[in-house]
Amino acid sequence: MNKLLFPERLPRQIIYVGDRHCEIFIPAQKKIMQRSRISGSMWNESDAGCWPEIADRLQTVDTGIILNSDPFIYNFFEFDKLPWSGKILRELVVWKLQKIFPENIAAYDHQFFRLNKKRVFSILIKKTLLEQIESLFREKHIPLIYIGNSTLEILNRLARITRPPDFFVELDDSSCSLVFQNKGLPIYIRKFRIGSRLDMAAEISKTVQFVKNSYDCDPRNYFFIDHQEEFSAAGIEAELARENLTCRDSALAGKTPYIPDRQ
Amino acid sequence: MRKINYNLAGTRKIDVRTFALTLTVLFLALVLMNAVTIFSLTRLNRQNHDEKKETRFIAQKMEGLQQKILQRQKEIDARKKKWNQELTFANSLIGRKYFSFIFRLNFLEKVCGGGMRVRQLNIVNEPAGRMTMTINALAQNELLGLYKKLLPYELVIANENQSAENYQAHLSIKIKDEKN
Repeated sequence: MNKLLFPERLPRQIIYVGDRHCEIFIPAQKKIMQRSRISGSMWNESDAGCWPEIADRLQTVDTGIILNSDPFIYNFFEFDKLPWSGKILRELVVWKLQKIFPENIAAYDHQFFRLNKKRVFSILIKKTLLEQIESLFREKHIPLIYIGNSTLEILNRLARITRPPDFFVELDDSSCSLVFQNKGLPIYIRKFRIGSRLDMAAEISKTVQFVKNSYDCDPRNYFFIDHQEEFSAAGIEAELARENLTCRDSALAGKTPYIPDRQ
Repeated sequence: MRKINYNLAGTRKIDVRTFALTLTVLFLALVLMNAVTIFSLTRLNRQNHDEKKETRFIAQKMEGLQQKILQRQKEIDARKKKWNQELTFANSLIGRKYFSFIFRLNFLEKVCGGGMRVRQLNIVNEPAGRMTMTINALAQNELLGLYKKLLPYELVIANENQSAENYQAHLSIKIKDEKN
């Protein structure tokens, strides 16, 4: 209700933070007007990474930052029946999370979303990372009004497609996320590091088999969403085609579905 | 799938334009709902007014009918009264016919013997009316025989006189059930 009554303003410039690169997008009138890529990670433990260069290119306008899946921890919880009360549901989800999550939950920003009457999608991210990002922007006096997650942005974008894929592969420089959907709802997410292309195809194939056996669905078609400039998925597609997995990326070809509500 | 709004920024901003648009839409929806409510209420009021008018009309009609019924009732009562009077009159006529003095005279003729004369007779022409008479008899035993016959009819002997030639008695009787 709050989201409907008090809609949030979308940022006028967006930074996508990848594993080994960052991209600055200037969207206007539902189109990307300007796009610039900066190599290197945004911050390192030892130094500030490419943040000074990014900060130099940023305008002092409302800014958003989209993080790739790397710093996030996803969980799906299934209950017999979800309680209506948000407070009770939170207690229930935290209790379930505590049973499987070894670290201190208080150190994480934990948010969860009711997917249907039984399933909850939980997302964790370290609070220190958020504080670090906010402090960098504060120092430069750039208003940061949006901190998002590329996978969730893609999920939101796919929800608008008439025939969404059974799963999508989100590729970054060194990481890969596989998000499986059933009847338009995410059911399983797996993140892994990319080795060779062949290894990646094998990992995808293995995960598809796992989902097929564990969940009552048969994934057949998928989307490739990559954040790399020159990446050819042809080899992987050919490998996956042998497993009867069809790539259908025409719907999002040349687009940036990880940028919130644009295009 | 419902859109997942995931924004971790501490300082978020409200989209004023969309907010204003939402408010405008809500306001318009409110105005529309009010208009619909007013329209519905007006229609209901009009309907209510029409129904009241109709009810009033029916009530007036009912009142007219009631008055008509009362008038008819009065007419009926008047006619009933008249008919009752006519009936009473007719009954009285029938009664008069039933308790006729001819029957009484006939009775008197039967009970009086050969040596007896009825000198004077008064008859009240009413049911069970008393008959007063003066009887002359040649012999006393004849008079006594008459008394015997008249005993069941409330015989009252007012006086008895004896002269040289005959016996005279002044008496009255009452015939209750003249059919017998």
